[in-house]
Amino acid sequence: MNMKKLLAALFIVAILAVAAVIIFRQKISPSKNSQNSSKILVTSTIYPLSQLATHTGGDLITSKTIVPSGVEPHDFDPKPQDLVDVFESKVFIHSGTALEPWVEKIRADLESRGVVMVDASKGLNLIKGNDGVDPHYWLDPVLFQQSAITVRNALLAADPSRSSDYKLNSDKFIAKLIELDNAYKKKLFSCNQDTVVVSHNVLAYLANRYKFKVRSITGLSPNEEATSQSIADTVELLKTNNIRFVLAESLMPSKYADTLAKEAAVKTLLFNPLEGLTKEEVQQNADYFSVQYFNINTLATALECLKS
Amino acid sequence: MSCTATIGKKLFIITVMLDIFNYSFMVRAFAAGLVIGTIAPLIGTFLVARRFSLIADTLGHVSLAGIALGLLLHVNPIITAMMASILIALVVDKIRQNKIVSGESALAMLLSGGLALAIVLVGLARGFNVDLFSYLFGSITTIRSEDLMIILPVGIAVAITILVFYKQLLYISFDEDGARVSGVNVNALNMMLMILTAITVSLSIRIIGSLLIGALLVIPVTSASQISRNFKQSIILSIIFSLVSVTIGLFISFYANLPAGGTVVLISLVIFIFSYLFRILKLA
Amino acid sequence: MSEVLVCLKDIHFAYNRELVLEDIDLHIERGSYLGLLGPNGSGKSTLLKIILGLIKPQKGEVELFGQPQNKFKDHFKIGYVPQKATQIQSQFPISVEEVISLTAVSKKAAHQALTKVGMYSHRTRLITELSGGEQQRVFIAKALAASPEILLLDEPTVGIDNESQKDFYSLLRELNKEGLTIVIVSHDTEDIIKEVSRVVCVNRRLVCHVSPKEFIEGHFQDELYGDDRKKIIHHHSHA
Repeated sequence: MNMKKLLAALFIVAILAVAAVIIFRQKISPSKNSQNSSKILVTSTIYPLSQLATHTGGDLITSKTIVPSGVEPHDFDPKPQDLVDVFESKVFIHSGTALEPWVEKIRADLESRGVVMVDASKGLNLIKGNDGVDPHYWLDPVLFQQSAITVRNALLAADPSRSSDYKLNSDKFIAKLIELDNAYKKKLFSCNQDTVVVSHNVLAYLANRYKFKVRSITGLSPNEEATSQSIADTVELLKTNNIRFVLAESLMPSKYADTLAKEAAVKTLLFNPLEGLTKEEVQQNADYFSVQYFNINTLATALECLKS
Repeated sequence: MSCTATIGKKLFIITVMLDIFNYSFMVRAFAAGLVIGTIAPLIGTFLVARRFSLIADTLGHVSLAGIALGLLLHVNPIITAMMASILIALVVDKIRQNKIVSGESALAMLLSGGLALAIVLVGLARGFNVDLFSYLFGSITTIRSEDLMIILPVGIAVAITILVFYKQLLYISFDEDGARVSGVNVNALNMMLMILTAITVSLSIRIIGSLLIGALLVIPVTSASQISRNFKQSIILSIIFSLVSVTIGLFISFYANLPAGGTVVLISLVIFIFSYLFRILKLA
Repeated sequence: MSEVLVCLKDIHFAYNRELVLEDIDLHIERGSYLGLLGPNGSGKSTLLKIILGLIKPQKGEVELFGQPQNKFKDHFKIGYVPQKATQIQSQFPISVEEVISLTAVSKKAAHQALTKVGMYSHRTRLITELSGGEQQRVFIAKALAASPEILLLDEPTVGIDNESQKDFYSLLRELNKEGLTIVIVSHDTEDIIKEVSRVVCVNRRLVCHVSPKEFIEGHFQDELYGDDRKKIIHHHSHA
């Protein structure tokens, strides 16, 4: 008899809780309801890919990035509302690498919902190493032009009513990428050092393109623990080549760079591999290009390039 | 009781209208959640009765090693998790029978051993697609249809097995010696219980994560035993509590964007507090 | 000559290299009411468990109802009431009728067993809410519910109040009169020798197998308990 009363009470509490959550919910997911019915929603997994969307779509689209800045994409597990955003979008851009393991798991669902999945690495020859495919291709302004074209085509197909606008924006975007490529070439033309030392290996594509060498303490994943052998070898290299600078990534703790700095009298410089923006960069309204120009300066300093 | 009928009807209408169920990943999460929410307390009742609750956490950590192995070998991690935990479950049963070391220390060693092995295997697997975090904490958003195709039938099989052997399982949990004298094959049933636990733990990792799996097997059971008047009632009540926790937990997890594993466990703790208070106050 | 229900031949049992039982030969006949006595650590509980099949002796044979133990299949014929110490953890939610249902072959058998021990009205109660004496009655009912032919009890009077003890012994008397063979292990020598028809003393070896009268008159108590005898008798008279 008392059991039944307790059960009934629990039941009622459960229903009330559900009701409360539904009411509450109206206030916490504005994005869905306030979606302007004429603008299409484009979701991207990580920041650099959403830059493709923003620079091509501008104000004509609503763009959302799923993995927040500062979160390691490799470890990111989408929350329910994150998936809701992706499910509700018309175009979904992902890197096409192992950086976002959750993407493959929802492919079947997305396809049945008619969400267009865009692989930003389509048509690109990605660098393969011991650790797997290097995902940092967005740092290479030449490769990124191909990604820009892929995204442009997707937007044209998804929202043909605005094709002329998208084409215009895309052309401007690609022009800026060409400009960026020239800036890299110029700044890194004549340098005293040929090797950059960096915490984890984000520089392979830039090194390929602009002809310098990279020594990284760990591999592709910043979660790896560096072996003491690796650190020792790096210290050796720093001393032998008289390298004065070591690069740390802006959103990651710089413990290895700091270790090296103590061992070999080097200074730490910040490099942003563009997986996200720092708080300062967000406040400064930074974007792909402003960060890249910052990166050029960092590399020029590290490689002790002559001012031109 | 026409009262419950009208409530039921209203619930049904609400359910259909809510867009939570428009998303296939949530529908799958609920399907998996309801199955696991049913078998976890079903097994847990017998574990708690025999003071063996720690086995769930131990097998959870061992499953992690199994999952790491599966990811390394590109085999479905749930299957390797099941194999690893079944193996260790049988080892634990043997240790318990032969009293080589005390049950508690054996479990503690296996718990840390399993986790250590998982860490080493993950270290070996660097560069592979290692989403170990989602197995540690659970990830309702990435339950695939393939996962459901394992969880649903295996879960139903586990439930049916327990129902079939209900009386014998109760007997050995309550009075192992008496059961032996009555001719019950105690050793075989113990082994079976261990295997069923291993399977349940492996299935539950997807939703609730290996860190919290012990909670779902134990907390609803302890809540139920506060107020039940007999064993059957205890089982039914623990399943109800568990299902309520899972349902509310999944709803809150969806709408408030919170991790499902943690939410479900916290709710089951709230239910425990209520049922504990109910017992205390009833005595006053 | 009565049918021999239990036959032990040359039983030896050692635990951790310590000899617990040596050279035990014992026949238990149908209808007997047997008290198994001995001091603490004498091996009497172990002997009971060997009969029940819970412990395997290193040497010797056990025959139950004429069959070797490992071939014996009629488990319902043997009723077992364990020592209270091995009892239920707190908060194991099981009701009296659920306990009986573990061995009862039918609802009728369960009803009869509970009524026999006077616990039918308590059938929906949780076993953890019962007193020591009530729990013991439930365990007896559980053993009776399978219609056993022999009932073995291990230290059944430990922790039971005097009033319940009296009821307990009168119940056993009644059951024995109805034909149930009873074997009771106890260190409660004074009370036991008043109830049983045979006394078996164990202190690693079989010290006696006599009638209660012979037990009192013989010097078996000295051999059995040594200097402890005086202490034990005094303890019981003050109990």
